[in-house]
Amino acid sequence: MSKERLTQLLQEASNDILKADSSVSLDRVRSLYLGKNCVLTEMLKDIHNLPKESRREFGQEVNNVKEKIQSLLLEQAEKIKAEKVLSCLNLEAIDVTMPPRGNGLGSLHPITRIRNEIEEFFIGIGFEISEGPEIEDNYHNFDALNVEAHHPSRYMQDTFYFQNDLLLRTHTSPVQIRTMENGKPPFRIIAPGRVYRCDFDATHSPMFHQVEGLVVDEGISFANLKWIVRLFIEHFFTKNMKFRFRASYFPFTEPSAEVDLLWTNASGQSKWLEVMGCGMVHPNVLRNVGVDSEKYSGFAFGMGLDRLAMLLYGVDDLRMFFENDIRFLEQF
Amino acid sequence: MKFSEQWLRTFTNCDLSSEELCKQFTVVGLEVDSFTSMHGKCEGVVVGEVLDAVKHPNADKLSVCTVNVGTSSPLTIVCGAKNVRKGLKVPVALCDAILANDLKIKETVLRGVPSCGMICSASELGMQCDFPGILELPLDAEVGLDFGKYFVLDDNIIELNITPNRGDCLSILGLAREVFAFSKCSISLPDFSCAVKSTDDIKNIVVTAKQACPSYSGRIIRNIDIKKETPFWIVERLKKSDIRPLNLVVDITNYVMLELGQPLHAFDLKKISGDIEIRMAKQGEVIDLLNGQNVTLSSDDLVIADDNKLLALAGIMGGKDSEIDSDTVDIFLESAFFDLPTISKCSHKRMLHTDASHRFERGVDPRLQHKAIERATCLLQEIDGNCSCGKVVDVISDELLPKHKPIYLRKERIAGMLGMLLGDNIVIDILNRLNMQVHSTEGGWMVLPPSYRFDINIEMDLVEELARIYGYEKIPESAMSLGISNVNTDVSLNNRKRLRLSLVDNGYSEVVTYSFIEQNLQSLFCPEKKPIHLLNPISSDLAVMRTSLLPGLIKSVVYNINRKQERMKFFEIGLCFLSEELPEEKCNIRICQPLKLAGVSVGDVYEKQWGIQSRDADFFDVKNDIENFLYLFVTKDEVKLKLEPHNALHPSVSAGIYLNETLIGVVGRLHPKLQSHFKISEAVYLFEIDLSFLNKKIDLKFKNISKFPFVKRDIALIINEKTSWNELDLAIKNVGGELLQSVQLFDVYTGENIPNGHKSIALRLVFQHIMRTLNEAEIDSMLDKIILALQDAFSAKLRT
Repeated sequence: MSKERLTQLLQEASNDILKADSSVSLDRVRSLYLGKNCVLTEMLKDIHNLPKESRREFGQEVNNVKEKIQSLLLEQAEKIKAEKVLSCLNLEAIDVTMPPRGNGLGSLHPITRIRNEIEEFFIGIGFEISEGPEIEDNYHNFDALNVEAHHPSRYMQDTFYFQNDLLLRTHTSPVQIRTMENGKPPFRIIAPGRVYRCDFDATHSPMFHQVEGLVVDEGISFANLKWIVRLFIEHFFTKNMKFRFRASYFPFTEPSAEVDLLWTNASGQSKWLEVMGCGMVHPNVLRNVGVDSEKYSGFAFGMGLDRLAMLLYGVDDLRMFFENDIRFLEQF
Repeated sequence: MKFSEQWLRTFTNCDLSSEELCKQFTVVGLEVDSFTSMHGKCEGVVVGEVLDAVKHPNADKLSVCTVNVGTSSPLTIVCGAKNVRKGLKVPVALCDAILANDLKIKETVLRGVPSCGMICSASELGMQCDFPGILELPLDAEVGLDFGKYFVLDDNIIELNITPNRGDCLSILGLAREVFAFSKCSISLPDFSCAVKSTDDIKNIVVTAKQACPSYSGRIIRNIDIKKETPFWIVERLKKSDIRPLNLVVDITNYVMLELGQPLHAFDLKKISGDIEIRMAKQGEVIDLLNGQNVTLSSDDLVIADDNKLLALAGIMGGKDSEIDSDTVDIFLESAFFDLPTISKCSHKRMLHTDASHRFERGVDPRLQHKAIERATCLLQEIDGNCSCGKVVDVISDELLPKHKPIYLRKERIAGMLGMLLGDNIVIDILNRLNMQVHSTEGGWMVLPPSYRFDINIEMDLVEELARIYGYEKIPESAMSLGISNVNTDVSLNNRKRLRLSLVDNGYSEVVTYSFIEQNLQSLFCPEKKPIHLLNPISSDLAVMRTSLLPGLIKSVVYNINRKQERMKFFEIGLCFLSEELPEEKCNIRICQPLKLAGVSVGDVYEKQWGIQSRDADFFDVKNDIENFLYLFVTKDEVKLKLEPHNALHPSVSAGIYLNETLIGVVGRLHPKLQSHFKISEAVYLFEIDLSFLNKKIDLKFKNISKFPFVKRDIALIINEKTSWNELDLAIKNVGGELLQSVQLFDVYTGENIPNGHKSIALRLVFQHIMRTLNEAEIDSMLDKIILALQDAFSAKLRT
């Protein structure tokens, strides 16, 4: 019974503890060194065999060894726990690159996407959205818009007719009339929607989509129209998109203009493409809806949503928008 | 309007390049639709005169010609053309000349006779006209002159899109005026005057329909050689304008129409009996037109007639009975101004669109009739010197001719409309260049437009002209105030956006289908609704307006199934059209146009993937999709689904969707008979909902959350399998009252241990009190009461 024995014991315990690799084996080591009948306890029992003056010191040392073993046990227990967690985590490893579960999203129709984008721009600058019926009467689709009954301009657009002077609107312009009939200036509206013309080939569909814009207020000029068109084109396309105004004719605007974009296609060729018709609201139109054309003036503009979608998304056949092939739809 | 650029250039002294000219046309509103270069080759070709032509000694079909080309000695040329003869003026390709198709001319020996050069046909020079044989030039052509100087072969065909307001630009003359206006190049009209030798020979003209025909001029021309070839330069220009040459008389009338814009018509004089009368047709009168069509007329059609018969449908097309033919010797030539709407109405009603009607309905210069008839006569006399002309008879009702009144143009209005100041001198200069008479007056000008501008009647018309000629590009941009107008945001628009996103998030793709469908398809889905028919559908499969979105969706599904797609979810939002009267005169169209949403789901719930056992989508999957979006806008209590038959849906798997007891839609499985009609192998689930409920603002109210614990109790019941969940759920909630927070159905089981005709359902009931903690005893008693009530109402048995 000696200090050497204690040191040796501590060494042995330490070795055994480090060897323990599970909580069970660690428990076994614990009871071996600190249990009821362990060597240390036996040593303390035999303490009376020591000379009185050394008993206190020896007792102290035995306790020290005990504490050290305990702290080693604690340390090893932590280590075993940590290793266990780690090996659990390893077991739970997955291949994060595998495809996900569940269903993907559907898609908005490309024309809806374009429409939303245009609506958001104009709502942002204080316009309202206005809608109207698709089966219209001659008055709102033509007469009120200064399209005279037997004038060739009446035949510029091939119209679908029903009985009783009803027709499928050939443009969204009747919404202008309905809006102005039911309100007082100032007006700042855009009117998106479906329109119909009796025409069918790769570049014409009997049904397509337009968005119409109308501003009527005091002091509105052609210069204002040019300004807003620039804002829109720069927002919708790119900052440096080249475009031009050229003279044109619509019965409901005067002066009338077409806006062409200098569009560069995928193979690098540039071409002027018509994207918008516009002009100052014709005084006859204002008169027809009871707006004083000496006090108020305004401008209107209209665009084909399908055409914009074709340009923006690079779709070259208009019919794809209405075939609803899922491989087409899913791309939007 | 399609025309030869060189022809236009003979009217203007314009140094703009072709490209510049086209650009200018486009920006002033005469958009260039197409531009085609015609490169005629004529290096080393000169005008020659055939001094003699004799038969080739060794070949029947060849002639040996002696041709003067302006050099000291004439050339000997062997020629194969039938029409070669002594005295002709012809284009001669000298040795080393290069012709169309890069044909190089060399000195050669033909059947023993040396030939030095070639007499050319039109096609060998790369021209449009396709005369057989060699080209016969006018006899006054100067011998030895380079052919390229005599006739410009290098030309471009320009096609302009002339808007309906600009009838005055449907002629070379009109386009030249426009070039003058935008380019300031001077205009040099060819000299149309010539001494027409006329006699007193006249045809009596009676204009009965003065309103429809305020100006009519006519003249007799006798002794025409109708077999005479039309000169190549006329044919060339006609062909470049896509007009087919017919005979000398018709070609000249067409030529003058292109040149001046005045349509002319020639009748065979011997086929006219008595006077020429311009009158309205009698109801039921019939005319055989030149195109072979037989038209029965009505009293609003204007005709040219003689004492016995109809000669022409005025301004549109001549009649067969007075047609110029190969025996024609004498003609009556007409040049008239007709009322625009009269011609327009008739030509559109009868779908007769001709070059003449195209011009008359847009407006021909009412001052042009006499001048045009003189011009045509001159040309005819130049070409056929033997014909003799009668006097022109003009019947003019001056008071009925369209006349311009001076228009007051205010400086202030110009500035206000354009947003910029235009200098007085600019305004006056532009108006002058447009042939307007301008007089200064207080605050502006009084402006009188020329007679041919039917589109200029009010001040704004002049403002437009100023902007157009000044250049839209030069008008500055200027910001405008974007103050708030009457903010009246339509809630339905925002709701619709949210609705779309909800559907997309639930895996639906948005489709757009036609608003018109095939009638049979329509009646398969909604036989009880009478659809609205289009009077002029594109085709029979787009003939009636849809009353439902479902047929369009099914067509989209079939389209994709045919392309081997197996799983799809589609939706569409759009108007449907019902011929029902509106309850209120909300809009004055007597057709109901409700906005609807419809959806379709076919195939598995999940795409094929690892880790999920997929299954066919069924009614309840679609019901979930519907509730997902409905509850964005309305509360759960407001919505009920009830079994409801629908023609297109499976009678046992279809439900009406009720919002506050109003039927707003349907959902269900496509009827198996339709499913097999469309050859779809899998069950198809559909829904359709009227979206007028989106017009309402969403009514959200916060409900207090209890701070006290809730208690869950699970029970299993055996009930008759026909028992409706709606009723059961209602019965439980009636008993449970406020304490019952929710009822969840978490299992449904039939099979072993369950009697036939019954099913076992497992429910989780959640109880909670807002003010206190519930004790076991009261929950037990509540549960007992519920079970008792279910026993009474549904003979439900507690499963233990």
